Amino acid sequence: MSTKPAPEAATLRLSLAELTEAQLRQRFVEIVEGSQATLIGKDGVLGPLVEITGASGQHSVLMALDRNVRLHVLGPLGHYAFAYNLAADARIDGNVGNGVGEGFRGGSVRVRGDAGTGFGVAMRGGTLAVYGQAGDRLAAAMTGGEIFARGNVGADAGIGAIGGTIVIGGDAGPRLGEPQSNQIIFLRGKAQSLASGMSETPLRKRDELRLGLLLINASIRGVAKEFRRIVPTAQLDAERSRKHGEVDPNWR
Amino acid sequence: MAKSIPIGDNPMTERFDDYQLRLPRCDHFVRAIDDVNLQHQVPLRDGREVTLPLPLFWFDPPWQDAPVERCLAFAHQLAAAGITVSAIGRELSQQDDDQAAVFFPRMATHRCDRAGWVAQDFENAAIIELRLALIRDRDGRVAYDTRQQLRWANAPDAESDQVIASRNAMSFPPEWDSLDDMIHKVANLRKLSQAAVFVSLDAANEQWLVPAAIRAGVDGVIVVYQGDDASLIARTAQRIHAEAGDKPPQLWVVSTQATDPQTWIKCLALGADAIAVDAFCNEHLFGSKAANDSIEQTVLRWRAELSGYTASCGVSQLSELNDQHLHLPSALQSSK
Repeated sequence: MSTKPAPEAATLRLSLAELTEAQLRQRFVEIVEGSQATLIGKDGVLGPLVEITGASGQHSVLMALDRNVRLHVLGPLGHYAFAYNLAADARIDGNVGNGVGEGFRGGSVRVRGDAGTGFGVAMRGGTLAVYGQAGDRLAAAMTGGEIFARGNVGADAGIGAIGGTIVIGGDAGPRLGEPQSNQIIFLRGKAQSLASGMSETPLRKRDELRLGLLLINASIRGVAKEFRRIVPTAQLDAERSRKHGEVDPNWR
Repeated sequence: MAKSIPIGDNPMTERFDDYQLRLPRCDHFVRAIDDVNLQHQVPLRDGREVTLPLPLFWFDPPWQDAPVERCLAFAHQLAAAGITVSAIGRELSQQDDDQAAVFFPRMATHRCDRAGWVAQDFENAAIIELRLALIRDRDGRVAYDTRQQLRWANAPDAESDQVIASRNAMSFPPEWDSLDDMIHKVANLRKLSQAAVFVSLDAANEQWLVPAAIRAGVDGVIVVYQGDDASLIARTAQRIHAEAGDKPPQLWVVSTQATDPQTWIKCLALGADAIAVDAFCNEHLFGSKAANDSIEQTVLRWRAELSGYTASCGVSQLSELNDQHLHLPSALQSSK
């Protein structure tokens, strides 16, 4: 009989209701620098685990975190939480407001709830995931990183993006994608419509491999084959006009 | 003496040239003013103040049109001369983000799509401009050109042959559901930075953006005027004072018609707190003036003229100028 490992105990518990933003940041510095219990995981060095209590929809909290700390936020957060994050890895048990993960630079945030408008706006790196629904303009003006939405997303996902990867496990609203970008969008459900200049196409082998890894990394159950790729039509035309594909059966 | 109608109440268009700076009453002895304070204080909502050497700023520099080294040197020259320069780190440095620290009192433009913005800009700017003003490019579009994007992407100029299409600029922050969300954005900027927070907007959008900006608690609004109707400045100032009450935000003015010290004094008297000098700066960076007049000499001349006109109005501080120091000649009024 297999036994499920016990959940890791948090190193410390801090309250958003009791500490200011500056005090929290200072505590993270102290915790990381004084931590004797830093774990070495298979993906690299894991920071100490801190439980964040008192979360009740506060706006502009836990921003610009540049320490390798793992946070477990017990409750909802408001607008712009985790903006400009550089190094923290967080799990939020609750919904989040608009603009969460703005300018995200590194680390990861996983939202076990719904996200508002502009989740991951202008993100440049790292991983954002929402396990519920996401509002309009998910990953708008994104330039890098990976963003996952297990459920449905609203209108204009990916608008103004330059790069990065969006994975949508549910349906997408109208005008999905940005034709003037190098962004990759993987969609499992249906899009109400694609943005002008975007096309839908099956996954290539390399996309299946990549998406499979991304899904595992984001702890999202699913099979890569269930997804399709949404790409700029010009990019798709360029791919098709190449003499040989990625796997050329006549390579001999 | 010419009879004046209240400034800003005239429904007709009034050009800057229509106004005259009023000389002091000559009915008793008044000692001439020879020491005018040209410094400009920007009071912040939290009680602090940002002090600027002059009420002049460069609103929208086309940094991408010149090599980065030249841009940085020019920005330093202007800042040393007392002009507040708008620049984000990526526009004046090709270093990595951590080293792209461009200091001196400067304004940093936080665009709706955060184009070019890096986290260090929060730390190094004296003023953050939340840009809701729509700026047309040479083709009449509200868009970013290839070189601008390359500069923001931290790609060397040598790669400018790389194919990056110009792209539309966002005109509204994508994470906002409505203008009511501006208050959260301003609070967000205040938490991430010690800088003053300004919002820029077009005069055409003033009626809804100014009230929203005031509700959001900004330190200033930058209004871009497209035409040559000087009285619009007075109307904007009146709107700001009516909405904000006793602690109005600053009104900074961008007008293609305000190009000389006398006109700047008129702008200040109409209710502006600072004036953009983009035409001069653009011409110095790229045009014929680059090789002729030095910036220092030009700004010294401006200082002399600003002091002269201010003193001639009978005040020793720019902040004391008001609409009582202007008048519209009666002949002009009767013709309207």
